[in-house]
Amino acid sequence: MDITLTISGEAGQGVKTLGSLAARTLFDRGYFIVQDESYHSRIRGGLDAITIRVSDRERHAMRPQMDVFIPLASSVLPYHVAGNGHEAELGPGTRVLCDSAAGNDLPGEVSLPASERATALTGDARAANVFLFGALCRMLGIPLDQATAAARKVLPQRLEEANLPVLKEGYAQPVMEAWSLPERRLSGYVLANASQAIGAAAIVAGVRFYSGYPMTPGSGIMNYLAAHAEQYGIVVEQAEDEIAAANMAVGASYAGVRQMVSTSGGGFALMVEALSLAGMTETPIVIVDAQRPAPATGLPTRTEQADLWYVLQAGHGEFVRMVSAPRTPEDAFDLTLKAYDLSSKYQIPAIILSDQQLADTLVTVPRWDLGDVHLDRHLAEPGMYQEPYQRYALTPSGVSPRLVPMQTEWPVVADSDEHDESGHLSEDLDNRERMVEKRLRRQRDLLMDLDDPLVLGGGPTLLVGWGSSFGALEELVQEHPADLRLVHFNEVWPLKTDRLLAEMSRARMVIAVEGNATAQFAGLIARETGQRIEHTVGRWDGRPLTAAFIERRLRDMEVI
Amino acid sequence: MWKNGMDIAWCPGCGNFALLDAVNRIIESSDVPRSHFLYVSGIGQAAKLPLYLKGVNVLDGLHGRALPAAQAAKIANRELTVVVHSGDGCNYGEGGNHLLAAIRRNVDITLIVHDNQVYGLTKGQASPTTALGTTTVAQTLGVMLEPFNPMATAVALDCSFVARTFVGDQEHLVSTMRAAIHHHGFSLVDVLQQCVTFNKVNTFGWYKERVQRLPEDYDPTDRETAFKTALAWGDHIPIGILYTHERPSYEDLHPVLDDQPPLWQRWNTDMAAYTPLLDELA
Repeated sequence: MDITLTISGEAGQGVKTLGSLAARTLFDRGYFIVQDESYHSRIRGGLDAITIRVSDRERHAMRPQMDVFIPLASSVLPYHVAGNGHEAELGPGTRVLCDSAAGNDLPGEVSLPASERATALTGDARAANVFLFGALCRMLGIPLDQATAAARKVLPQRLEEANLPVLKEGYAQPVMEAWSLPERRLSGYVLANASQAIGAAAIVAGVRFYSGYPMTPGSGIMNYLAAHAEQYGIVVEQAEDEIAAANMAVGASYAGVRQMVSTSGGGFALMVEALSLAGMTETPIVIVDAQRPAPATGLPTRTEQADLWYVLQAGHGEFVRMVSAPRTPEDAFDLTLKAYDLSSKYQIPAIILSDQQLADTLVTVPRWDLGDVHLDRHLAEPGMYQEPYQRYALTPSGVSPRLVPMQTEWPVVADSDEHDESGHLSEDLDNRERMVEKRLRRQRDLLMDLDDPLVLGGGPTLLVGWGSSFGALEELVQEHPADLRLVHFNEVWPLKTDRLLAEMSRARMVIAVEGNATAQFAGLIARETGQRIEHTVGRWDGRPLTAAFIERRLRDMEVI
Repeated sequence: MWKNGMDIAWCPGCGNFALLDAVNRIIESSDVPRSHFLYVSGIGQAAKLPLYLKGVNVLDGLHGRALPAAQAAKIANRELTVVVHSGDGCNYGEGGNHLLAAIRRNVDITLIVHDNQVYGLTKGQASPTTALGTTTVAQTLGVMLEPFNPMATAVALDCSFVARTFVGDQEHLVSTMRAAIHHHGFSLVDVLQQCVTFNKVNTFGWYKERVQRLPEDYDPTDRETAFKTALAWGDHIPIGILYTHERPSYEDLHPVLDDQPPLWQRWNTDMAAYTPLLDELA
């Protein structure tokens, strides 16, 4: 079972409300959901489309062929023309539900007096969405009481009572029951996007300070933490700019509190000097870069995997960092906890590469088991350091015992200049060599703490991917297990190459699949292994990779 | 030159030595234990001062970026006494936006600006406080930008503590900086000092002739008078606490920071506390 439904309108028409109502109903009824939002960077007008993929098994990517289409404005129709390729597509079998006031005249359209009845019942035409939601539930074969329960959860309390009669009347419309979705038992799952997953994991990891500056799609994490600030005792500070946000991160972490910074590529660009500061002062910090298409302002509300090389190289000088790239919201939670643990353990900056697709796509994923979580700040205990305390004491691992101010009577001296073991500025060149080696050798142990890439499928053609492309690639390999094999990374730096090289050596053909135009991950592999990946499938129109998109390219290449 | 067993990077005769002596006197005479002080700096000759202190915490960060780091450290640990030392280039130039925000945010930290009206460490370029027309290695045709007035800016933003002092008046220097540290809220102290190597106009003697302590009956809580006083520059330069008033600090206003322990000590490993976070998503 696999149904895709799309609600599309102009910004400000309440697409989100109708989408939330539908998603809540389907999730509560026990179905797996992937809910993607495609929108323009504006407050009113343009396009705002929510597409929900409903399934009876866990999936992590969108299927952009619409089974049900609810257009709220005729201006959105051109975006959904079949073959357009960017938005969810109208097909011959697509059922269309719409407000008779919109008058789209699409084939197979079911036109309902939604705004007329909404106005009559509530005095507000915007309640038409609730009317259409009722009709949609009828079409999907979902009982009214389930729809009503969802409406009570999703609608603001002040609108609830007025809107329930609208819902009831919408449900009573003569709409053909095209599906019958029986109630399923689905326990132990949550519906989350990566902004929520990263935010929740950050709170669990002990984050009590957030500094950031609003930038789509990175702001979701700031908003999540702000919404939980009072309950969990988090100081969420909107800084004057990203430079301040990143330097605040270093100051807060130096003083002993776990912090979070989230941004997108342009904001990250302003944080880069502070990233280098964290590298030099060996201060653990965690930064999320939710990527969007660039250069410069690019496409603010779209997705891309094109900051990989940038975050790998960002910051002047040479220092150890770790970069993870979650596959799914489930993975985002786990990798966020890991980023905090390892950045503290090795006293390094950790960067989490999310993107707009992950940040805005709600996915049904297994609920995390908090019993598995073991927290450690990796601060030095008495006996673990020599006295007098030296912040940058030389050790075989390169990791110096870390104290924070007032943890003991020992002062903590951190310096962005090259420094000696005590933290004091030093221009001694022998010291310089020792300190560079000390800082860099932490990468050896860090690499041991990272996981191997995931391998799926058994075919002769090897697909190589990373981060948010996972859902699409997983689906494709499941459909063509005899043709395709996948090696997929969610920890991209430092790069663990053994498994990859083994898979590459036995593959007939290797294809890098990435959400960018220049195959950045393939470039990283070439740099690290000397092995060039000749074939690439890239997507850079700002929309997420899907199985259908990759499949088309592979057919062109005659691989499948 | 060597002093107190340390190889100090300042030129002989630098105004920073008087500042270092004053800071040491303040730390020695303070009730606050040394290990509860955090000295934060940016980059520049002034910014090296924290590294010449003994027994205090130091975070020597990036040029212009000391204030964001210092404010966050204070938020993380309210029990720290946080003092920033950096120059006019660091705070009025590179980090100008952070100064404006720090005044508005009113976190309880102290900013001491070593203001010698020139860039020392990079060897003689104009700073934001260099006088119009001054020629330098970079401004070979003379400075064409109106000098930045830190005192007037701070008063205009209703900064909770605004003061100016001079390295040539040790008693005034110590008492002004001490008052700033004691003040609850963000404090700005502009310290006039000579740069013996690169500023041949605003010399020690030049300042000495011009600085005048504010009169005994000066009312530092009157903002309009403070603004007029802040505009004074030239033959007479007033020094002292130009403007001060009590208002709640960021920490006072922030409900999360209202009680002990300080933020960094609130470390929770009881996972049951987080069950509601996951319930919300189900």
